[in-house]
Amino acid sequence: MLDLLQALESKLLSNITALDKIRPMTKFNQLKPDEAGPGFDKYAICHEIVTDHKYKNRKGKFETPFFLNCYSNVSNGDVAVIWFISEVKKVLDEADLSNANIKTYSVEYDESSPQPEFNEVLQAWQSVIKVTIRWREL
Amino acid sequence: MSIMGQTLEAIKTILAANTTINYNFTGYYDDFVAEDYPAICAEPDTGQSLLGNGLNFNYDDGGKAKVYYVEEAPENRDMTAFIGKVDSLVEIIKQHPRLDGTLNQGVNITVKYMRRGPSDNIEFIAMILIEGRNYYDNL
Repeated sequence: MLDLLQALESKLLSNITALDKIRPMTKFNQLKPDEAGPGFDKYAICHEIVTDHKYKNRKGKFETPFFLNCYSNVSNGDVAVIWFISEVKKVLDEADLSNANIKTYSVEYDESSPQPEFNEVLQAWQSVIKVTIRWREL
Repeated sequence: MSIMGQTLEAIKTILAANTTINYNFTGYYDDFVAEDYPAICAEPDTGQSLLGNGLNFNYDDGGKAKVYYVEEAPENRDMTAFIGKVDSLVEIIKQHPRLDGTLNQGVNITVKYMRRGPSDNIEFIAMILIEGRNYYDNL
């Protein structure tokens, strides 16, 4: 699972130049602008594992849906986040995250809530995308 | 004899020898995951034996097997190339009507293009149903 998260993060970071930080939901606080740090610059993603179950009842093969919470704190963030999620969709839908550690059978964009919402904690606009990844460890 | 095992092996051998198949699996399609494309899943269906004692003692073996041919679907989901490929697979089987002697009375081939289900990846699936009989005399 850690290898999959790494593959997901590096895929997004290397394909979307505007993306500043990508963090798991457990490290959401690192995106907050406070004494500990400046938060993030323009665009960030927080990924969240929804569930994890067996794929086709086969040992070692998994189907794992993810929520990708996309944030933007630029001046017109509500519009910018709509552009941002379309970029994430373009990169991830039908992508291949296979590398030396994992093999992905399918990466599919499921749904999103394109209507931006304001996140008070981050002082940024946000929108959520759901993708499902089928994969196995090598 | 196990006509099912031999029939499935014969179909897989014939297809692999005449076209590119990068992944082979024998088992239920429900458990099938293509590790590479193009892929084939050979699923056993029904085997039957018929014994008869006429002037000569003879018997019939019958077999029914499903072969799923799976390819990665292109982004625009156009099936033209895939349909052409499946047609050519049927032609290949037709060139070996006795299926290497496992169904020497000839076979009946049915092709069904399947809509991919929720558990399938982004792929095109064609089910080739092969039914046939094998006849033995004076055994």
